[in-house]
Formats: sequence, C-alpha cells, structure tokens
Amino acid sequence: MRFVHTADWHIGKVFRYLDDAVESRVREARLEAITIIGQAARGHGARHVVVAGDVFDHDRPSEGTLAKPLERMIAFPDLGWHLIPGNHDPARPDGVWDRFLRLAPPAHVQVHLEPGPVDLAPGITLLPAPLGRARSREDPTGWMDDAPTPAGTLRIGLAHGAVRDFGQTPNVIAPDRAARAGLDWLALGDWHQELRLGPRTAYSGTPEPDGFGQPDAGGALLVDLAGPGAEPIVTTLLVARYRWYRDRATVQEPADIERLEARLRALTAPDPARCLVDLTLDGALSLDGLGIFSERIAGDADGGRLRSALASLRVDLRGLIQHPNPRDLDAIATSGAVRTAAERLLARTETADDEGRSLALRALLHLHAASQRSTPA
Amino acid sequence: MRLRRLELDQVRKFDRPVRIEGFRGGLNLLAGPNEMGKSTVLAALQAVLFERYRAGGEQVRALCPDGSRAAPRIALDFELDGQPYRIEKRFLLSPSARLILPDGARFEDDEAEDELQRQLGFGPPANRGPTVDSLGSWGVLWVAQGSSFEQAGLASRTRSDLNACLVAEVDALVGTEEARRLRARFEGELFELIERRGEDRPKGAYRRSLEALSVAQAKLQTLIEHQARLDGDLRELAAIGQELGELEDLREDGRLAGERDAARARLDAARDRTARIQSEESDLRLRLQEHATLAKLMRERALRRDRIDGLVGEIEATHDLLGPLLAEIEARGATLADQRAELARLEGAESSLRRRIRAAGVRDRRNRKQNELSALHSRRREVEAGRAEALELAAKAQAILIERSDLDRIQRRALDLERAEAERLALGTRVRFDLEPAALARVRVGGRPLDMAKTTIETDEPLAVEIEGLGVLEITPAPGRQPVASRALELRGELAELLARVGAADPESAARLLDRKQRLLDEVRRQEERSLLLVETAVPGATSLAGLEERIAALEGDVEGEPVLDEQETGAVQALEVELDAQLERIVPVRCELERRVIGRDALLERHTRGVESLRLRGEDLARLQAELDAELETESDPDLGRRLDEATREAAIARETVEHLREQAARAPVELVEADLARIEGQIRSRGARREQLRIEASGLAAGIARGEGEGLSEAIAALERRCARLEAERTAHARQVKMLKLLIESLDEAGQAAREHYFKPLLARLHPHLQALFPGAEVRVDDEGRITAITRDGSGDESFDRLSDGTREQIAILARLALAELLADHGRPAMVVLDDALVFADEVRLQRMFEVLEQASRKVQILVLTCRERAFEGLAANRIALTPIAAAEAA
Repeated sequence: MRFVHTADWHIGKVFRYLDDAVESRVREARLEAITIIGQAARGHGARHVVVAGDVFDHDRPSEGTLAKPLERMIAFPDLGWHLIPGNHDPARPDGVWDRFLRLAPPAHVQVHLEPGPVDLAPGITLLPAPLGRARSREDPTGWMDDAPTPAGTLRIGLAHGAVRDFGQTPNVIAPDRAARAGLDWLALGDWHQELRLGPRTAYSGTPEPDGFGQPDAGGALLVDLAGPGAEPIVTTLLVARYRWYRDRATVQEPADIERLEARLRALTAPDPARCLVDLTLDGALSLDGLGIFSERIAGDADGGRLRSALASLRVDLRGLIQHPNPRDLDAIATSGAVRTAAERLLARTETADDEGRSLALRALLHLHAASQRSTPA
Repeated sequence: MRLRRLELDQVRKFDRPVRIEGFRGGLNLLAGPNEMGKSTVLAALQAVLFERYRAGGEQVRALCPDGSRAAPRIALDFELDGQPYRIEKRFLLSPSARLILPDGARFEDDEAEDELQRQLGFGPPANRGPTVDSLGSWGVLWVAQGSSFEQAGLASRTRSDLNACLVAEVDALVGTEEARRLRARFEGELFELIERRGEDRPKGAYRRSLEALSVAQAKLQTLIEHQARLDGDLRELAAIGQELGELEDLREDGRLAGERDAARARLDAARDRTARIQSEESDLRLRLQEHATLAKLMRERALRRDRIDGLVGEIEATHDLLGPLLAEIEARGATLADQRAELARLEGAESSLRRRIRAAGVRDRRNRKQNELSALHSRRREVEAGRAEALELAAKAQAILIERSDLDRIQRRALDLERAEAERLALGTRVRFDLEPAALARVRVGGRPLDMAKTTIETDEPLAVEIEGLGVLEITPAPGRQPVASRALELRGELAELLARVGAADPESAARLLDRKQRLLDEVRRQEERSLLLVETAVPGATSLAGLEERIAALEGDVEGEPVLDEQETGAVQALEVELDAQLERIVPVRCELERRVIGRDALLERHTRGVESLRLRGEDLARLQAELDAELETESDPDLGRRLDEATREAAIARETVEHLREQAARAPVELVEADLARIEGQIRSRGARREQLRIEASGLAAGIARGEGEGLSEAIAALERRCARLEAERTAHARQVKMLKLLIESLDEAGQAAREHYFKPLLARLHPHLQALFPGAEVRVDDEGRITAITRDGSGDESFDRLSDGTREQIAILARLALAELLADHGRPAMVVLDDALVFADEVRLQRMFEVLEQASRKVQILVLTCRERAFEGLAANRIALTPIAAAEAA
C-alpha cells in the first residue's frame, strides 16, 4: 500500500504583507501544489492521497476558492483523494463542506465528515477523524482505539490537531495514538512543517509554506506500507514553489551592507523571484550607509535592487540605530542655509521625542538624498 | 565715481550747446523751475553712459529736439578712483563714441563702449536700449522722476555687485539659493500630497489612498456585520434546533397529556363537589327552615298558652271586679230611687206651684211652655247631634268589613303560607348573575331587563334568561318542586283574596283594621247611652227620642192655647213664681245631686258594661285560642312536636356538618383553581404546538438565509478586505508621515534661510541703520532674499508692511536703502553715485530737513546729484549749487 500524506493546504489564504501581484502568485501556488502532489503520487505509483485537514483557510470561502481545489483533484481520477475538515474549515451544517458536497465531487474525491472506519480497498481501512468544531477539548482520535477492523487489515488514521497541550490548546491528539489504536500510519495535519513523531506518526506540513520561519515546510509524505504491522517507509516529496527565508544581520558600515547583499543573493539563488525574505537589521548606520542600504537592498516603498530581484522583501529596521555623522552633514552642505537646516534637524534627532526623532531622521535622510541627487557626479 | 562736467548739444530742449560744470565730490544740487531741463540732464547722463552710440531706439530718438532730425551729442567728464575720464557720444546722424582714459589712451566707437562697460561695470544694453539688468546698480542709484518712492528690484547684475560686496564683508557663502531650490523641490513634493491652499487637504495618491481606505473600511464593516448576522443566525438556528428537539420530545407531550387528564378529572370532581355542596346547602336550608318553622310553632304554642293563661286570669279578675261593681250599682240604684222620689216630691211641689201659676195666668203659661219648649228643642238637637255622630261612627265601623272570624282566617292562612314559602324556598332554583355591569345590562329575565340591584333571582318555574348577543338560557326547576310551589301559590291567592275581601294589605293591617272597628263600635255605644241619658233627663220617663219629640209636640200644642195674665193674676203669679223659684232652688241641688249620682251610677254601669263586654271578648278570645290550641294538639301533641323539633335540630346539624365538610374539601381544590390549572396545562400544550410550528417556520427561513450567506464566501472576503485596509492604512500612514517630514524640512529650510538672510544683508543693513535712526529713531527693517525692505518696526511695536506705509515714508526709506547700497558699493571701490530727480516730493518740512542731513552724511562717501524744481524747499540743503550754462558755438565745436 503506497499513498501520499498531505495537509494544511489553506486554499484561499490571504497574505497581508505581500503586495497584490506577489500575493496573487503565492495564493495561486497553493493551488498548484495540489497538482504537484497529484503528479508526484501518480509518478510514485500511489493510489490514494490523504489530506489531514485545513484544506481551506476560511470556513466561508468564496465559490471560486471552493471549486478550484476540486477541479485540481478531478484532474487525477486515478487517485483516491480523502479529505477531512480541520480547525480552519470545520464541518458545520450548511458550512464549507456542505457547500463543497453541493458541487457534486466525483467518487474519487471523498470528504469524510463522520468518524468511523472507511474501506479504501480490500484489507485497507481509513480511520478519518474530522473536526466538527474549530476548538474541541476532546481528542478527535480517541475513538480509533476501539474502531473494529478485520484482522490483517491495514489501519490508516487521518486526523487534525496538536499533540502538545499548552493549557488551552484545542483538538489535542495523544502522541501515542498510533500504538494505542494499532494504526499502521497516523497522518496528521495542523503543524505546518514536516514533523515525525515516531515510526508511524507524522505531520506532513503544508505543501506550500505560508509564513517565515518554516524551514521544514513545503512538502508531502510518500508512505509505503508493506503490510499490517510492517515498518512504514516514508519519503519526503518536495512540492513548494516559493521559499520563505527569515534572516537577521548587524550592519555598521557600507561594507557590511555589501556583505549582506551578497549573502542574501546567495541564499535566494538561483531563483530569487520565488523567494520571500523577512530581514531584521540591527547595528548602526549613518545617512550615507542608509542611502546605500536603500539603493542596494531596500529603500522606501518598493525601492532597492535586491528587493526588485525577490518576490518579497520585508525589512525590520526597528533595531537599527540611524545616526547621521559629520560627513553626512557635509554631504548635504558644508555651509549656508541648507547646512544650517541640516544641523537643526540633527539637533531634533537628539532632543525630540521618539516620533519627532523619527521624523527628523527621515527628513535628514530625504535632505541627504535630495542633496546627493542635486550634486553633480 | 564722481561727475565733473556734462555737455549737451541738440539734446531735447537744448538745441544749443549747454554745460554743467562745477560738480563736487559731495552733494550737488541743480535747482530750477519746471521745463528747465533737469530730467533732460538725467536722460543725457544715462544716454552717454549706457546707450550704445549706434542705438536708434525710441529712447535715443527721444533725445532729439522736438521734430528735428538732429544728431544729439553728449560729453561727460568723470572720475574713477580719482582719475579723470571723458566719454563723448554722438547719436543718430554719423554716430560715434570716444572714451579718453586718464593715461590719455583713447577708445573709439565700439571699443569705447566696451571699455566704458568694463570700467563702470554695467552690461551691454538690449536692442531697445539699456535695461534694469544691463544697468545694474546704476538703475538703482539713479532715480528718475516719479520713481523715488518705489524700491528698485535687484537685477542679477545688481545682485552680483551687491553679492560681491556682501560676501567680501561677511566672508561666507550663505547658500540661500540652494536652500530655496531645495525648498521649492520639497514644496513640490508636498503639494503633490496636499492642496497648496487649505488645511492639509490631501490630494493625489494620498487622497486616493484615503478614499480607497474609506471605501474598503465601509465595505469591510458591512461584511463584518453581515458575518455577525450570519453567526447570529447560526446560533439562533442551533438554539431553535435544540428547542425544537425539546418540543418534539413525545415523552413531554405524554406527560402534559397526563397532567391535562388528571386536571380534567380533578375539575370534574370539583364540579361534582360544588353541585353536591349546592344540593346539601339546599337541604340544609330546608332543614333549617323546617327547624325554624317547628321552633316557631313551638314558640307560638307557648305564646298561645301564655295568652290563654293571661285571658283566664283577666276573665277571673274581671269577674272579681264586676261582682262588687254590680252591688255598688244596685246600691246606688236604691239611693237614686230615694233621691228620685225626693226629687219627684219636690218636682211635684214645683208642678203644683206651676199648675197654680198656670192656673193663675194662662198667658204666662204660654211663655213658660215656650221656654220649656225651647229647652226641649235644644235638648233634641243635642241628642240628634249625638245620634248623628253615633251614626257616623257606626257607618265608619260598618265600612270596616273585617270581623274577628275574618282575622282568624287571615292569620291562619298567613301561617300556612309562611310554611309553604319556606318549603318552596328550600326547594326552589336560585340563579345568580356574576357578570360585568356592561354584561348585566344585556341580561333580560322573563322578557324584562334584569334589576341591576338584584343579581340573584329565585324561581320555581321555567324561566328564560336572555343575554343579548349570546342567546337564551332556559332554566327549568326540577319537576318534584312543583306541588310545593303550587301550594304556596294557592295559599298566597287565598290570603290575598281574604285580605282583599276585608280591604287589608297584609295580616298586620287586617289586625289593625279590626282593632279600629272595635274602637268605633265602643264609641257608638257610648254616644247612644249619652243620648238616652239626655232624653231621660229632659223628659222623665222617656226612653227614646220619640218620647222627647212627643213632649215637644204636646208643648207646641199647649203653647198656642194658653191665655195671657192680668195684673192681679200677674201678681199672684209672681208670688207663685217667687215660691216656684224658691222651690226650684230647692229642687236644683237635689236634681244636681241626683244627676251627679246618676252620672256616677252611669259610670259604674259603663264600667260594668265594659267589663261584661271585655269578659265576652276575652271569653271569645279564650275560646278561640283554646280551640286553636286544641286543634293543634289534636293534630300534634307537644311531645310529638318536641320530638319533631329535636329531629329537625339533629338533621340540620348533620346537614351543616356535611356542607362544611364538603366546603372544606372544595376550599382545598376550588373549581377556579383546578380550572386555571387545566387551562394552564391546555395552554402549555397549545403553545407547545404553536411554538413548534413557529420554530419550524423560523428554522426554515433561517436555514435558507444561512445557506445564501454561507455561499457568499464571507470570511475569505473579510480577510481580503482586512488585508486591503491594512495596506491602505499603511499607505495613508506613510503619506501622512511624508507630509509631516516634508513640512519639517521646509520649516527647517525657512528658518535657516531667514537666519542666513539676516547674516547676509548685515553689511547693507549696517549702512542703512544710521540713516534710518536719523529719520526714524529706534526703527528696524526686515529684508527679503532680494534685499528689499519688507517691513519696518518702530518703537518696539509690531512689523509694519512696507507696502502699507505712507507714500512719503515709503519714498524716504527707499532713498535711504539706495544711499546705503551706494555707500556699500563705494566702500568696496565700485563705481557708484546717486542721482535723485525730483525726489522727496512727499516729505514734510521736518522729514525733509532730516533727509538733508542724511544726504549730507551720505555725500561724504558718494557723489549725489539732486535735481529739483522746488528751489526754495531745498534752500536748506548744504549742497554745491550747479547750473546749466550755454557754451559758445565756437567752443562747442
């Protein structure tokens, strides 16, 4: 028995911090992941794809969002697709899954809305644990321990929830459920990165990362079960189209900025257009250094060379000390009214409150840039 | 620069050569009347220095004398740095130019022009002649007529001159140009985001982001509200589902049905109990009536016995009275006979006397008889009146029909009727109307409106109760009660008939009638007795009125036949009459005594008669009462009646106990309470059904709405709009921050620019200051980037805008500024001198005098030429007076 274990598709997810064009592509990539999974399953001779919840990001998706994943799955009639509701898309009356079923999915796309054994093929039973509510204090897999299946049957659990209880965590699943319920494999969803919890239990993670700090996201699991009780052979299938990186750097001088640029370019090679980077800077930069940073990496609005190369670059400068130095002021003007104005602004950066300081710094930067632009090369 | 000598030929009004010489280094004054040619002097100075010799423009042509085609010629001797220069120009016809330098070098024509420009530092004139820009500082320093009260704008050449001087003194580049350029740039950026006029009104991208944000927020709010409604509907549907589940629970339906049946059973029992209570109460009333009747019988029997005993006692007492009374009467009768005999004797003597008198005088008898007759007539009238009264009383008594027997019958019937009524009441049907007043008004009983004061009626007959708008209730008493009712009715009829027959309204009035009749008859009897006595006393032996009337008739017959007496007879008669009178006097006491005794005897007789009558009546009463008692006893003996009363008491007690027991039971579960309970349960069942239906309808409506709402993809749309709002908000914040930043930049540049300007114009202001103080002590001025005075501050008060000052003050300050500029240029070795053509026309005497002092002060550094037509006003000016003098033709050539 060979099948693909995937989860957390989160179709329809909205990304606030991405601009419209990138956001649209990233959303599209989540749909494309279904096709990639289908192709991989077919390519590896798998007969079924089990999806461990959170197919949709919203419990009230639009009609388009509802139909698109179905159309992707319909394109693979040779595969059995088994979906369960997760905490993002729980099964409510007249809810997302009733609407989905009203689209009349074909027989090979099955939504399991009730817990209980389902025969996938002779000798193979799926034990789906759908969520009827977003938050439940009960272990959705508890019933599996006593779920009867004929002897010699492969038992595959499918559930959505956390395995650690941090106090108020909902839908907590016993981490040893596979052993307790005699499961050959327990396919879990909810955790967005791949995580093996033992020889027979794992989170597949989301096939397309949806946030920074998910280094192990972006795949699906190919699970091979030789027979009841046999050790599963699990292979990670790479699915993601976009890579999400989180980075931090300390900069003190223009050379640091050049090194940072080189590092980020290496990190996002060979296809930076499919990389999203969340960069946090600390250290200290003069106006000159900030100007260089704006030019080489990321400036105001959509400025910056590296930013142009990447799908998205988010920069956090809150930890960076921005301090104009005498050279910065000389670069603006060595004397005269402009110099006086620059000095007045500099004085404000040292005496004003946070907002006034920030404003004065921005003004200085702007003046600096304007002076640079007006100075003949 | 200093002017030394000016020569003109063929220039405007000077068609003959003229000259001005005697210029000194300081203040020079050319005074003269209008049309003297002062302005021509200034025009000639400008032309010889700044017009190209080959120029043919209007200004050059204007140099020619009126209407002539002449060749204006002008020559000027001047000093630069103390060295002599001469420039000569001929215009229009064979134009030429020549410049002679201090070293004797000569430049001709264009070379002369170029060298002159270089030496004096002005620019080449434009095609039409010198411009403000080409003239440079000279345009500022040489003030033509009518221009002295305006400040001259600094052309670039002037600014350059000025700048060179200022920079030389302040030794610094102030960079206001760069600041101005940057400011303009930032202002451009700022006004791409906000309106140039108006309170930071956003425009462009800023405004678009604000508008888009507003639209997105409104849309988001709508969707959030929609989603909240949908969530609310979902919760409501879930709640309805739960409630419906409870309402559809058949066990609850069964429980309620059981409660309802039990309540119905309790209500039936309560109603039965109420009926039984009514029946038992009716029985109790009957028992009590029976008991009351028997007790009354008992009391009446006792009363009757008491009455019999009383009557027996009274009869015996009357008998005891009558015996002695009769003896007394008999005794008095004997005495009376004696006295009557005495009286008869006396009356006999009287009669004898009368007869003798009658015999003595027949005619007097006639009078006496007449007197007697008169007395008898009087007595007859009295008797007749008594008889008439007796007859009237008898008639009244006769009119009262009732007899003792009648009263007895009436009383018996009344007693019977009372018993029958008691029985009828006990068995009768009572209807009580406990209705609202408005409803009571609609009730008609037996066809008549119900008496509102009597809402309980009793009937033993079928009765129709009609309630308007509702219908008719037929009330039919139980058939067994009919005989009792009939008997009562019959008795009432009989009693009424008896009462009608005797003319009484009720038994009591019948008794009163009989009593009155008895009293009337007694009075008749007394009248009759009195009449008899009156007859008897008037006509002794007469026993009736007929005897009296017979006597009267006899006397009337006698009177007519009696004769009249003579004197003798009269005397005899009178003697007899005296005797008779004496006799009569004897008779009178006897008669009176007799009458008194007769009256006393008669009183005793009356008492006796009354006693006898009383005895008779009492005897009758006694007999009647005894007969009644006997009859009752015959019907039912006292012990029997006593037993019956005891029995009735017991039965009544039992009936009362039963009623109380039943009432106690009824109080524990009153019909109204059980009815209310049943109504509550039935209401519950009904409302449960109705609620079920209502909830099903509501659920159906909600489900349809929810299905629609779910299909709209609300949460995804909300997330997308939230994202859009966040991005637009970030944009708005960035724009707002950009606006603030640009404003701060502009403000910083403005502040720096102002400081720089103050620093930059310091040398110029330093030279202006003493002149200003001379004219306006304590005053300060503000200048703009061009060095133009924009405002003046006097006496520590606020700024006064230059444009708002009076013409005189404006002119004076403008001249001061020109003098300061000239001094600054002169201090830096630049060629400068001041020409004022007809200036200070607006100055008053005081100001003019101060201006003279200022001009004198300034003239120590620069040469000043003052041209004026107000010769007398300028007499006080300590200036070198110069004049135009003709030049001989030969010399001029």
